[in-house]
Amino acid sequence: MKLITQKSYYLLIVYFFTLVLVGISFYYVTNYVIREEFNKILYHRKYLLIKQLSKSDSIIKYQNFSDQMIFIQESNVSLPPFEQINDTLIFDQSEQKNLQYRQIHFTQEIRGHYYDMYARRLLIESESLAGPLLILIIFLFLVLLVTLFFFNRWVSHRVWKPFYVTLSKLKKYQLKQNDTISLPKTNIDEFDQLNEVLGIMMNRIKHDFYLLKEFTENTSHELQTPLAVIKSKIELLMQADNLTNIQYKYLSASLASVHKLSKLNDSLGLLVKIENNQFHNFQSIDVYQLIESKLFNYEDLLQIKFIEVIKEKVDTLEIMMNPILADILIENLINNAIKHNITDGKIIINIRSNELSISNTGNELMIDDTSLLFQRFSKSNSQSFGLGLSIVKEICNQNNIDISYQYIKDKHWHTMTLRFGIVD
Amino acid sequence: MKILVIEDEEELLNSISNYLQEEQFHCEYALDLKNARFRLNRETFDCFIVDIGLPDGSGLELVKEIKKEQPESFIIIISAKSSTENKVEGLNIGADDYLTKPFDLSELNARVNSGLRRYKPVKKKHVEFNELKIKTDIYQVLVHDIEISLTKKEYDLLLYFITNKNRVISKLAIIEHLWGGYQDSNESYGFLYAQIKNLRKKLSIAGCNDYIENINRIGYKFRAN
Repeated sequence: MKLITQKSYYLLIVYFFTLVLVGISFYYVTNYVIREEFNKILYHRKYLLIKQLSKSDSIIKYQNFSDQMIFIQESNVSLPPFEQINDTLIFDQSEQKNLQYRQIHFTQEIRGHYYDMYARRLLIESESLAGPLLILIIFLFLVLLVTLFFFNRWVSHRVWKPFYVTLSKLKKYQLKQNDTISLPKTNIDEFDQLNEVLGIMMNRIKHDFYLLKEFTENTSHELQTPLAVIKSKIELLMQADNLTNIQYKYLSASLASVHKLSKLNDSLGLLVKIENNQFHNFQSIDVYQLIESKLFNYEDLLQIKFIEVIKEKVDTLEIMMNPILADILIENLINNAIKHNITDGKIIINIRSNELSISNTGNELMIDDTSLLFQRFSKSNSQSFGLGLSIVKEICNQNNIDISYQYIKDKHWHTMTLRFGIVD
Repeated sequence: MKILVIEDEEELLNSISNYLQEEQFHCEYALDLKNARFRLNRETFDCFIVDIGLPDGSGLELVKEIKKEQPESFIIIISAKSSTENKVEGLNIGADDYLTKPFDLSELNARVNSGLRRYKPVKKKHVEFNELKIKTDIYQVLVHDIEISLTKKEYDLLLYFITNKNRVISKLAIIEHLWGGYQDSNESYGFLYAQIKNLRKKLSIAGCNDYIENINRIGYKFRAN
């Protein structure tokens, strides 16, 4: 949910309760004001009545008006002074229901006569006040809703624009590509702060990233000499005459581990170099020729495993690439197709004008998620480090090659497809 | 045969000279560029083994100087840098071979021998071992002076064995030698066994003794007696 929508939800809840509160108070205040007004009128009427009656009592004749506005009763006995103002319900014949009146009830002695008097005035019904009020509140709420909607749109266009600019820049940003990101100055303090902090953070991350890469590169170099010492000492030790079987076993295991370590080092070093874009010098490369030469190198391995290679050259495929990287790419792919193949297996190499696919027979992979295949250290067996395919992936990334993997289950075919010149 | 090894890691230096000395090579050493230049100006060597990362500069500079001062000698670079560009650069400035650390001593020995053969007259290019004879200039193998036909891999394997005769050579070293660095799966052992089996068979058919001895798990030894 967008921040602004979220904010609007809360605002609407607040508006709702405020409007209800305003409505209720308005209702009561209106009622109070009306009664106050009526009281004034009724007091004025009382004053007029007393004034009239002190002149003459002719007004008594008119006492029974149909709307029962004034009611005067002359008393024979003396009445104590009394005055009361209140609401009262009186049944109305024409409307067939009780109507609410404001009335003043008082006694007065005028020229020796005692009068008991009522003056009444029809009140506005409460329901007829509440109805329009409710409609008004609903209307106001709707108006707020619509205003809020348009206001939000306007705000997200104007005020939040720098935020979305920053966001889209961050989305595109790639640490590896060594590009600096420039976040423009906005006229909103919070966004300026955000951009500033982001800028500082990114510089720090970049700095750390390069330190780490430098470290990886240096380590992989520096480790090779000590490894060479270990390897040479093992080799010298191997020459001893009186070694037991178990000692040979230990030496063999040590040698294998040194071998593994140095391979790992090499691969990591290469990976870092590819990531650092250290391979320039682009040349036109005929993929078919390159594959031919690689297959020639692997001829005896193919023979020992009885693997049949079928080459389908539909079209000539020429790519612009660094020759060393192209070599590593094809080498790794073919190596993989042989390594993970079965005895009496097959390799099909299909070359089209902008597509290369290498398929091989082989056992099903142990991993479920095939995207993990290209990740570092995702390995199919303990013999390899699983760096081969991540090197392939990295080379593809750097050279705008789209690589994908498919597996046809019932036929046990693994296929790597490379599409060249895909511009994103 | 005199070899000068220029390497700043003393233990590696020891290992190299230890291994090569047994091959009747006379090994001298220098720990830095200064010392190496000093030796270079006073003596002649048949072979130089040069490390690139030296404390007082790059071994590449030294390679250029050696090429100028003693162009007849054979130069092998040993370096931690394994990339193709580094190799190309090293070979371009005059080195004859490039070996990446960590290397097998048997591999270094094979390279030194092969390099030294290169500058010798044809007659001396022949490697002989009892009834076996390898004419390295024409890639020919003779058993009791009768030529036998070997594949490229079998030939390489036999030459590697004879160069490192009486030494235990690890299987991994042989695999690296034959197939380069790319094969690192369990299967590469299978490839190796197949090659050894074929080589043994061909040699024994030709009436050659079986000199290849299995050394428990670790590798093989080409035994002279």
